[in-house]
Amino acid sequence: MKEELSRITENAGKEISQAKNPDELEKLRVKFIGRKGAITSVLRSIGNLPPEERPLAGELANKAKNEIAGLIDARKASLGSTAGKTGEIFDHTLPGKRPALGRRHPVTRAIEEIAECMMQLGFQWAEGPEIEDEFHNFVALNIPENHPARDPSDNFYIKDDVLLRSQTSTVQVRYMEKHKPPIRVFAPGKVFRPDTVDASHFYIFHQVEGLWVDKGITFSHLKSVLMMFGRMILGDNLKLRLRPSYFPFTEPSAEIDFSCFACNGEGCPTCGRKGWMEMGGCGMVDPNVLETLNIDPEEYTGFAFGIGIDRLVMAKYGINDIRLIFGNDVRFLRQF
Amino acid sequence: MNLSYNWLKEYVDFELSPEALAEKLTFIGLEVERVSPVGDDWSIELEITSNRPDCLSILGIAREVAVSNRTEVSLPEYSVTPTGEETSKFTSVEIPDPDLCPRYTAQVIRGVEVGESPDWLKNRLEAIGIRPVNNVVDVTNYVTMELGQPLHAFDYDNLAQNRIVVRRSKGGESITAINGKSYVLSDEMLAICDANEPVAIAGVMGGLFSEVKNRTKNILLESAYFNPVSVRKTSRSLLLESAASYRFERGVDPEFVLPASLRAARLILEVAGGELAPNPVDVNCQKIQYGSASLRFSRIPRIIGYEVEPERVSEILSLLGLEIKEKNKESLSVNIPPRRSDISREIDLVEEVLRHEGIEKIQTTDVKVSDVRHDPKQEFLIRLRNLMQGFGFFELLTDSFVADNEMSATCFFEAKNSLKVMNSVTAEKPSLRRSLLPNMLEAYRSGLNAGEHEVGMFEASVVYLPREEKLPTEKHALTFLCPGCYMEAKGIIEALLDAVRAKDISFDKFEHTFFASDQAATIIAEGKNFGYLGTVSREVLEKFDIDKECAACELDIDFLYSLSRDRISFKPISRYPKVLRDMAVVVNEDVLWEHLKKNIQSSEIPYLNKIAFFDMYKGKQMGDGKKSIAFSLEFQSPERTLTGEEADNYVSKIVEHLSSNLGAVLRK
Repeated sequence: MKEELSRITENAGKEISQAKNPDELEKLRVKFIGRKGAITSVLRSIGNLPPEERPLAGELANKAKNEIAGLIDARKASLGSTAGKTGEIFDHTLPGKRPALGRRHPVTRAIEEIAECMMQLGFQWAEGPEIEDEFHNFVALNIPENHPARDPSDNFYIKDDVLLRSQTSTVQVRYMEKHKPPIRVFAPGKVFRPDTVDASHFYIFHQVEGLWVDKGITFSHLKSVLMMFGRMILGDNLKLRLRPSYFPFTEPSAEIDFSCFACNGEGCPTCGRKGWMEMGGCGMVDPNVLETLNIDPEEYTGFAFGIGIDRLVMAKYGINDIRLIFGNDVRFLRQF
Repeated sequence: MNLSYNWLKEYVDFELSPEALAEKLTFIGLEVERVSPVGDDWSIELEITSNRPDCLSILGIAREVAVSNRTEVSLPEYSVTPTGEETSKFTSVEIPDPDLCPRYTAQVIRGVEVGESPDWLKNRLEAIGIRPVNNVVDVTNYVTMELGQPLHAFDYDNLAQNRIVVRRSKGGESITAINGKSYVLSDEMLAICDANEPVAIAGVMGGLFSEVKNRTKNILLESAYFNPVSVRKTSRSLLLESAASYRFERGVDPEFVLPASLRAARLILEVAGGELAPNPVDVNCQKIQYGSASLRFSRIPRIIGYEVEPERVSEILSLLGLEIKEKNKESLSVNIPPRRSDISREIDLVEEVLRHEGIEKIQTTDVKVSDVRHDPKQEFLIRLRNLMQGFGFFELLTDSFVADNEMSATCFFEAKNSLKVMNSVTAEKPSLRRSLLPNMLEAYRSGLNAGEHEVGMFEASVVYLPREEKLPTEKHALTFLCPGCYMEAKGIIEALLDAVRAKDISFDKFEHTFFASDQAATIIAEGKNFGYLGTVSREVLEKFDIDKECAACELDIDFLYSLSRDRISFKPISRYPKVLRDMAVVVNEDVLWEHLKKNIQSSEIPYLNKIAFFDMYKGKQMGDGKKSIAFSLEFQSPERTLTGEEADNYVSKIVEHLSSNLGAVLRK
């Protein structure tokens, strides 16, 4: 009888595990432990055994009955509540119930990333107003009257001596007005220039300004900081190239090129097959600027740089049109 | 600035291919934009920085290449063989306005044959993108590009009294220029005139009537120095530019005014024949001034980060044409020719050394670590943005400019009238925003039009609020738009205020045309309005063509920041269970929830931790002018378990209190 019970239990186990819905399970329950079920029949046949064997047999039979009942319950539970009476299959690939996910704008996010990077390089976050006066935007930056940089067609003037800042270097001036060296700051922000709008130009864009004035600062420090900055933002393979140039507030001056993010300097459509992308300008702070702000250029030297953030973002994500940054199209924002 | 590879080779020796030359030029600071083959020559397009007007000529570039190659330039031939009577017999030059024209030279060439230029001349011009006209005009263009000194040739016989007067224009004189257009000159503009009227816009463009044509027989050749500021102002006002004005604006080389004229005369005689009168008329010839500067050798590594041998420093500077005046172990001093107006100080000399010794030689170095203070305000802004993202909103970056109409001039904060820019690239948007909402509504509409599911939008940015002072206040505003109505916006705000732990915030009814009537509030703390929210009005939705209901909020981040400074102070969790009681009271319609809640709090019942609204109901059975408010009360003691009877007792006291203060009736 013991073997018989084992056999029945084993079969029951097999069939129960293949049951697809509660109806099938019910049929199996009837089949094995119902009034006319297999185990029940064995239980009834205990009466035919010798008396001394009956208690043990009864115990074994009941144990088997409970075991099977347990298997049925477990199988029922694992089929779960989604298996309806009609016997549907649970589709675990259906989309879940999602909470709403907002998005950060890639440029404001980039500013935060850049800030993180600059702070790691030892630079303090500085801020300044977007609307500036003549002194901060021109005079202190060594741009005298009649200099082409002051041209009304190149600036958004509000009044003769009030305008929207055309570079974040104004923050340099404000910071140096209030602090004495050592000065090590960065200032991200919007700048405004009446450029004709096209895929690479917009009349508002974002720059991050860097400034480090102290004893013993040279062009080597500038190159080093630019290199570290570039690598942190765009990756370890990044190459840096400087080309001599001119800005009224730095001397010597240079333009900053980073190797093209897409082709790592090989040349591709993204970089116009040059292999390099223009990222901004830099140089040693012009002694005139230091003197205007009562910092002795004999004692202190410094460097400054201005890097275009929108360009950096466009390079990093492969965005091909700067107008998308200010377009605020949900289909654009959704991608970030 | 366009350069021809073959032409350049006439003035300096070098072994570089056009591409290699382009690379070399770029790395000494003369950026090459493009190299393109033209016939058997190459055109090299350069972007010359505004501080190097001396490089706006083939000779200027040749000088730089020569320094780079450690050789010398070969100057072009400009000796001439004049014949016949003196120039002063044929013409005179008068300059009533010498402040605008410090020097003017005139030469007269008689008996020329004007016609097609020889091939060599045409090829040179075509290689740099200049269209040949006739041999005389072509020579003037050639020399302008060769030496950087703009020249102009007049038809001598078409000049009234064959003479020149260089004066400010007066009384609205006008001139038809060689481009065929007519220009009215203002009283500030310098004109080259004959005895009667303007024959050229000084430094900008010659006049049509006196231009050299095929039948011209006699030429007056002008070479002058015009005041750069005056030329630039004239060029901008008339919206007229030329290769000449471009050079005069930046300052031409006073030393080449006459040699350029002699060079051109020589070439004109060669290609067009004729006789050159001796002794050019040269008015206001001022003594050429040379500048000077000195350089300490020790200064160089302090700026560029690497050392350069004094011998090499001297070599670079003298090859550049800066004659060494004095020299010793520590320093040297140089004379600076007027064509290098960009050099006047020691630092400028350092830059010259860097350019030619090599910017590529700058090494990186160790950068020392520095203490950086946290910026709590910036961290706060980042937190706000991330919170809004967490609430499901999309962050925008909108235009600082808005249209000039009432809707776009929306302003909740205190301010005077919107600032306007004098020249807006976007003519439809000349004003600076005083609220982030107008541009945000446009973005919202675009989203709906693109068939996108409605999505909440936010921005944390600056609005420009004019005031008495010179510069406006730039206030940081947090602004959002969400689908739904007032209640949705209020929910977001309450969650946000909780997250930044701003306490004691209340809301006050607010009426504003931007919001639907009776569905807006101001957000108040410390007695001050610092935020504004509400259901957007039908009118605004129509103006912006939005057909779905939405709510808006704008608040002052600077003020919110000042409210949010609370540090967290942990409160031990009570071991004893809470006792909850729900109840509803019937009150007059005009009793506000906040009012009721404050009333309950003022009863000073102990252990009352929380009062939470959960329903409001108006129904017939309440009677007119009445409504029912349902809320739950939570009692908890930190020391013991409160009994049911105690809770019931508290509840009765509260009911009594509400009854006597508000006439509230418990609803069974």
